Amino acid sequence: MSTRRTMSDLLPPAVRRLTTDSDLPLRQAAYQSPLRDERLAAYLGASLGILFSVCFVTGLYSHLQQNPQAWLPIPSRPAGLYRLSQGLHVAAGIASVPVLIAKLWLVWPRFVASPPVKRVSHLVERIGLFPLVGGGIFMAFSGVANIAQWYPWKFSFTASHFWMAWVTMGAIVAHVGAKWAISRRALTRPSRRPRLSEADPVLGTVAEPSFASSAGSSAGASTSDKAGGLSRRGLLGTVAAASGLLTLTTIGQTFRPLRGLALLAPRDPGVGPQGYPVNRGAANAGVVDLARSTDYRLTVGGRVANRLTFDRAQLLSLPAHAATLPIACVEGWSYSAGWKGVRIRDLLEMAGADTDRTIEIESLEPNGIYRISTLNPGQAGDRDTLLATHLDGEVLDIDHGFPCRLIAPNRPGVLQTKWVTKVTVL
Amino acid sequence: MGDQSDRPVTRSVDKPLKVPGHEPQPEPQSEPQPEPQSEPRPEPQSEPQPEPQSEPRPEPAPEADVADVGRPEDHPQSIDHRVGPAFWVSAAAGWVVIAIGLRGVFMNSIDTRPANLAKFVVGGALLHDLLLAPLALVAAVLVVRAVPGRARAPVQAALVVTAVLALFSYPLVRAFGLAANNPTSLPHNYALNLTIVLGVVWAVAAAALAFRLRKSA
Repeated sequence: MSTRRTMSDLLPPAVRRLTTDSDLPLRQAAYQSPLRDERLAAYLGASLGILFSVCFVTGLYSHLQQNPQAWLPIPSRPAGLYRLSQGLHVAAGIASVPVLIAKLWLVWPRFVASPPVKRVSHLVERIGLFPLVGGGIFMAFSGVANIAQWYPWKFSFTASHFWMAWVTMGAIVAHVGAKWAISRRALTRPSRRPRLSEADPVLGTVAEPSFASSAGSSAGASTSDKAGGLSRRGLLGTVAAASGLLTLTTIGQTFRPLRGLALLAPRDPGVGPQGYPVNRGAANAGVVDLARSTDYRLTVGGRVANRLTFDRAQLLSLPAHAATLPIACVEGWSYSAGWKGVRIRDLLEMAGADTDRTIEIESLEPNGIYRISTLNPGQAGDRDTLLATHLDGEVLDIDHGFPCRLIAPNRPGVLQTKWVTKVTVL
Repeated sequence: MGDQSDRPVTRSVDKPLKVPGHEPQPEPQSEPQPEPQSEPRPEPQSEPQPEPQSEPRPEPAPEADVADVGRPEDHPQSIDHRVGPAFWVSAAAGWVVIAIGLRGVFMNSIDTRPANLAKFVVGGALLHDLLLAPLALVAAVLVVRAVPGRARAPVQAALVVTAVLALFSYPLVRAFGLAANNPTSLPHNYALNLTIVLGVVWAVAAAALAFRLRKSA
């Protein structure tokens, strides 16, 4: 105690009032808002933990889709699984933004703790706050920037967002352990304990005037209600409203019935060539001339009995199959459409390939990380895995992949390779 | 290490037994104005000098206001320092996962550009902790000063929602994504749309305020 007293004595009174004791409640020193409440912090923390976990699990799934592992082949069904999972990923990430901001505001007095470290466990806990706060803010910021296609950085978004997710999730695990007891206590205690302000005249002067009147008032009204500011319930409601409003104004990019409300969505699933958005047009990919050229050929090669080559007319004469399948972008927008074209499995049969092979689909794109994608045997054999030449009954627009594109169930949009020119049996 | 620093905690634990009575005690001078709007600040952090309420404790030991005064004996914070095996187990597990992430960052440094990445991770945290959070505190004090008690809650709620929506919409309104030269990306006029959404938010806040005033009238 004496050390502490000496330390604080050295600080000017103004500074002393702005720093906090990490063993005391959130509400102390200059931070007297009745909203700085352990119970509220626990609610926000739990919500944030759930939202970030949803993001993590769906993010892992998306990563696995884009980095296929032989020991865990992605099934081709249910067809809409990726659409659902990635829609959830982006929606949960967006909804977490207000919760994250509120939680950071609530616990900020802990940031200015004096002394900064009290004991070994406290040191361990505080070191864990670097990855927790830095990671949490980074995940939210990079995700929001990415869906708006804003890249103010030099790193690869996917790689950095993925690896930082592990850092953030690890920090959450450590933090949950550190806060488990206190959160449980805060969440299970009766909600109308006398506040610190009510119990203590010195600390509590700020809220005191309202105390006398609130003591006799109805159970629901809190101290701050009386004072006129937001109550704790009011803040929780405000955060929920902000999350809800963000969800409502963006979810229409993947949930068609709410399309009209999607005022703040980076995409409109009804805007684009043939009425559908794209992420990379033909001009950006540098394939306009190649795709329109009469020299265009589709070849089926690799481990096949007979190598096949088709020009565009021959491609159109192949037996066509129609399927209604979603395209779901990693950025959280999606649409469902009617596709028509030749089945991959029919092509493979014509070429005399084994059915247990992995297939590589190659684009005309001269470069770009997504110019080649692979289909595992299950995906290649699915009845709806097509090289589509038509979209909703019309010839495929060049921005959608003319002359033909891959479309397969349960698959990220970036792997639905466009301007396909080569099918290779591995 | 824990000993001395723990002491104030245990001390204060006995004290608050006066809590249950919770009589306003030596404070009555500040009491005379029980009407809500006269108490100016739930969060007086902008000017550190404790204003009127400093009189009641003219000379107490510097940290008296935080360490020696009472708080409910079963307050969750009071056992903060007693960490059990669960703390260490989850800390160990958490740091293993953090290590996996950091290893991934450095093993894939061609993609993750650790130096550039660190700028954003550390920069984001510092930007929040040192700039945005203090600014929010000052703004909160100003709001409490400027807005009369009864109007305060709807105004605070609307301001919070406005700030969050504005932050989220910033890259959309600035339309950085148009640089990618994709006509289907950012199809809306986001400045207009944000204005519409915020208009709805403030209309709801105004309606809530009108409702409050009517009820109290």
